[in-house]
Amino acid sequence: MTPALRFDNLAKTYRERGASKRALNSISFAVEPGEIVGFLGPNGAGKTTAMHVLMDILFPTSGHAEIMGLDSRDPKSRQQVGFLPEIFAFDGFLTGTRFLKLFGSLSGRNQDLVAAHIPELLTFLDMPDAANVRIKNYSKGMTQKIGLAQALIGDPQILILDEPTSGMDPIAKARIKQLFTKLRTEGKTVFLSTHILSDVEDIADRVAIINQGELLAYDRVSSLLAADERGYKIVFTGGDAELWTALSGHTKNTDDRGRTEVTCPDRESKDFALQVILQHGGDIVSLKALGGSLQSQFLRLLHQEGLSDD
Amino acid sequence: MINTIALHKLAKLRHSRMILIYVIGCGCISLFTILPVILMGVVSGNRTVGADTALMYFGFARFFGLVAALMLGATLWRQDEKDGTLLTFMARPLSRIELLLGKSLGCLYALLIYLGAVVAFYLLAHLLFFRFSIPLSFPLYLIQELLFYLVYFAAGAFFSSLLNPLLAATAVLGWAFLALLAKIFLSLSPAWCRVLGKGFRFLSLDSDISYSVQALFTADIPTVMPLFKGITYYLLWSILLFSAAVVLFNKREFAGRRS
Repeated sequence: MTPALRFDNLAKTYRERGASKRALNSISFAVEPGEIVGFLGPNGAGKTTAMHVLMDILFPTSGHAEIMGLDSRDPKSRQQVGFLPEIFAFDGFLTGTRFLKLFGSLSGRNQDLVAAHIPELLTFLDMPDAANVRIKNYSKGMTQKIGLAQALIGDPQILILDEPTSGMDPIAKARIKQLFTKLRTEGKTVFLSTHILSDVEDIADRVAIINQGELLAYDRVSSLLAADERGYKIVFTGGDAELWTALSGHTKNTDDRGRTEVTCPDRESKDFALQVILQHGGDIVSLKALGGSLQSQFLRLLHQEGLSDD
Repeated sequence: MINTIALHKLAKLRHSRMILIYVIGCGCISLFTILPVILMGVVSGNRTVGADTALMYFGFARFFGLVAALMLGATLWRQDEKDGTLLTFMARPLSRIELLLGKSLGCLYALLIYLGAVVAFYLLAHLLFFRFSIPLSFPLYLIQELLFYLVYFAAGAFFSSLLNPLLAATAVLGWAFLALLAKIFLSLSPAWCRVLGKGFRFLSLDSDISYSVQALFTADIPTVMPLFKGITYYLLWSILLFSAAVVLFNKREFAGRRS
């Protein structure tokens, strides 16, 4: 199957005042149709550069990017794409409806379908009253929402979104999360860059982690989380004297209140410790997995590379 | 799609406060300068005042049109890049050439409206005060004027690919200024001055080729031929400069808007 998006040894070097800065260093990965992929990295990692190469706003120094098998330099490659730039701005004199009609017609979509889609979109984004209000009168969150609506108008198959929830309130953010789930059920491909790792953990199928132009990881979210499991911590009280002997291979600490904390390096060791504690009359207070979040994996990968995040 | 972009560009210009101030300013200057001349002609009954007024009126129109066309060219896509709207357009399935053609067509519409307003006002004045016939070559003269604006528009677009809009406009005006230098040097008697004058005239964007509107109302039919010469000259320059602007735009990378 043709990937929805593909980066093939994509490199980009900026030249400014005689000095050159490598923004992307031969990154290669593909986004399959129907997937939601989170594109993560600290500020200045190269996420926006990669997205701009896809949109033909920037040109690759070497390698290339493809959309549905077409080179990103070909305007036809953007026929099924909705794009939201990092900082969205548009001419303030247009009303929401006129703005969306303009971009619907520029997408080459049927105008009647576009016109029918507009109220539906604005209602879903919780801004039906903004249809006849000029963009210059919108708040920051509303501007971001109309930008997102512009990317969604005409029902594109691929969405490339650069920090889509930036400037939105928590209710709007929850709405957008709901939108992504809806898009997944419709079989749409979503490639989004964001700093909200917990959202990506919840909605994304895969994650690409990039720093200083290097692709550090590209994997399923579940695989990344499993790879980040760094053992378990069991807290219990009670238990007979033999329990200590049975747990001799584990690291243990007992506090003043008689609560003992046992650290298990892996899943098997944790299962064994739980069984032993219960067999010897101990009461489990808590069980906690160490690591295993996208955030900790993200930080660990950046740290491994000897690079600090911001 | 090109026309959709053009109409959007026109709407954007219509909502620009700078354009509004410029149009009102130019209108007032033209009106207050020309009205006394018209009134003098009417009071004295001198019919040749019509041609004099035409020269003055179209002289103003040409200068204001030139500046407007130049600024439209210099900010053709620069303004969109600055306010961050260009990226949204570029993400659509449009080629860069289509995008630039659409924006340029919008500017051409604006220049046509300007020229239309200039002519309408002029014709009205003639109908009311002078009542002499409009020569058949007048439409040709208007085509020459439109192409004259287009040369400056294309030059602005070309230079703004290399420089910021203000510097681009200055560069174009500097280029046009060579025509004045050419006139000065050609009017001097030493041979080297005339050679230099010819050199300046050759390099100048605005060679002394435009056909005067005054001559239009007084000359015989054969003298209309220079109009064709002017049209060809401006058309070729417009095509050359605009093509160069398109090539440079096509090779350009853009940055997103900074927060």
